[in-house]
Amino acid sequence: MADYKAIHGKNILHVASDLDNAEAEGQIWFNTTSSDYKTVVKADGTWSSGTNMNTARYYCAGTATAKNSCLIAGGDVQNTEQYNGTTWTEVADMAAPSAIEYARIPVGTATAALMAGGGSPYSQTCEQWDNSSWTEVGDINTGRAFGSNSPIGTTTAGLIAGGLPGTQDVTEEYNGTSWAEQNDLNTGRGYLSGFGTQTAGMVVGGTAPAPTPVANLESYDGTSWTELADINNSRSRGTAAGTSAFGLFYTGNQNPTGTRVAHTELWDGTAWTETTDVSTGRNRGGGGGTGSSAIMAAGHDGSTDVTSTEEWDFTSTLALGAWATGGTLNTAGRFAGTFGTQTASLIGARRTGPSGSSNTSEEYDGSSWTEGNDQNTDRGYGAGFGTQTAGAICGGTPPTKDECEEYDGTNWTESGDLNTARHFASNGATGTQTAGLAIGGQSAPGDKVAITESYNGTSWTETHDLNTARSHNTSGGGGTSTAALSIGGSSPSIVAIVESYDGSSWTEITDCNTARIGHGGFGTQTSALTYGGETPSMTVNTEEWDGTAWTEVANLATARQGLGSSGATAQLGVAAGGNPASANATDAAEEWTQGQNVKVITD
Amino acid sequence: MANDIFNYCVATNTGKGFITHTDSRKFWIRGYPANVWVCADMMESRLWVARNNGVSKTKDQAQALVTTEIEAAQAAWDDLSDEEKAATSGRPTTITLP
Repeated sequence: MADYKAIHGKNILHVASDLDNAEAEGQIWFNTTSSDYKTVVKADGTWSSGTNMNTARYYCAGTATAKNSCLIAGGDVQNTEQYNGTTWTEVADMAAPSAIEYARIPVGTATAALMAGGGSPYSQTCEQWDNSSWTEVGDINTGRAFGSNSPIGTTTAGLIAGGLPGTQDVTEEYNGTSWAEQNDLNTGRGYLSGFGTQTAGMVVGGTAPAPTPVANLESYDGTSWTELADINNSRSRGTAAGTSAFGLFYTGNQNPTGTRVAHTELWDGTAWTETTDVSTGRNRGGGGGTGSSAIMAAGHDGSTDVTSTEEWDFTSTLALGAWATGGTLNTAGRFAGTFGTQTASLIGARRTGPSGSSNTSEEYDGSSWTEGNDQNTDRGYGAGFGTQTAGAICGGTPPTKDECEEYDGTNWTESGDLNTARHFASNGATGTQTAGLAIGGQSAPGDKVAITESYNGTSWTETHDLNTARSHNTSGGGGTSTAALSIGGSSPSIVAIVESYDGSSWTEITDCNTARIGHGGFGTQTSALTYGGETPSMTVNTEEWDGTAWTEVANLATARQGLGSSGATAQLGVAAGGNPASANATDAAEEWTQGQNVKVITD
Repeated sequence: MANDIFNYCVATNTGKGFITHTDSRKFWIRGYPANVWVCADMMESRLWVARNNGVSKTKDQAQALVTTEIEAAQAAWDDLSDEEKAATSGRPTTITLP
């Protein structure tokens, strides 16, 4: 019998503390401290907003292979749209009259699909999509609509089951040419959902008869149907995705009165588990995909047809992030220039009161802050970038400064001045000591600037302006001079504007959820965290950016603004100092950690 | 949080280890002026209060501590010169505990 190393190419490690990085993925290790075998497993899946469809609709038919590949056809409108993860594009309409494009039964993928039956009177027609046009193919044997919503199988090995009128139990297979009747469902029903393949197909939920929803799940093996474990929330008109071993069932009508729900349940081949709900409860939209990557598009939310799209992702092995208290600063302060990482950070000169400031600097090792050499220029509101052994702080006030100082891990040295003197607040800078970026700021009281300057280790060069001039914005500490973010700030109104820089220009992207100034941030252009600040009241609110959307995550323990932020990634960072509601400055720090989702292997 | 029951305490933030990641994953916690902390009331948060030598307060007591601290900060802010006021983030605002 092959041993573990022969199978996986590695021995089981014996370690005193858990693996908590990419090395942990797919591995088993023995923790000698807790005497447990452990591994990393997927964390909870999440739904995030996708691009809205062009045309709202429901009772449409959808086919999909993943969250970024979907076709939605017909419904209470006639057109067809195709999604690539970014854009919905109008493609060719089906040939069937509008009365038949309603509640068709989908099979296949976004690029190779069948739409069978549909409408009222119940149609037997079937059209095939070849990623360019629709062609009528062999009719189904039993005219019907409202059958297995979301696709089962492919255009050469497809499966449909159930539907209206009445409570249909009819099953038909498609072989690429014609449809043939097979053994019936155990529970005839309409408004059901399907997923899987022709030889491992699944149908779930529905009404038997309408309007009462059922919880039944049946599995098809290519010959007959077998009852398996019920879903937790009986419902009809939902959408499903995945395989007989790993599936997903989401949205639908929960009760006879038609309450639209956001429920999402995961199928592991044995049982259903409730997981993260979609944002907008709805019924009879379209979608599909896999248990790891699925899509929900269109539908009816109880009052209107919707265009909204939601994308399911269940691939991350990262646990939910959380804040914890960090080491206490030696000198309380706010609006300090900071740089580095959670375990190798530096906080520089800072404001200590309404009229006071300190030029002290402190290093953090992930446990405690240690005073080092003072900065040459006393200031607050500077912007820091770089690492603990090769960093820099530029700008600040009072009075408004153009000075830049480099830090080598021990000493501060004056370097080239900014072209435009200004103060920043909240780390309006990013990059490295030899390729830094200073973003926006305030050149005089009330004078917000859009100016961006890049630093080459010696001098500053003006580059490309922000679209919206502002101060008190923040940028991800792990950004670079050619890939950076500018988040929120004062323009002078408090804004939620986010801009992304590619080294050539700033582009406005998705706003953060909460407009704020004087907030903190760390991470990169595609994975960042922002937190705290004034809204105008002090906030604990924390948001995470995944390159596409902002998501609310665990909040700070203490509301404050003017936090010094360090962190090269969105998974690890430290926020130090700032001013809470009742004090000019605090010495408290909080650490953000998002580690791997480690589980003990119990059997 | 409208239906949650909270516990209120005064505890000094001692820095690293005061609130751990495990704590913040287990229960809701917020810090307020005057070292007042408000937690979702559950066994884990009560153990946290005990571990940090916190002194339990009623909601009214905790609110009074916060209000006193804010009023002192407001009075201090009112005494600042206009230039100093401009250098702050504004007059401290009233806080109502959940």
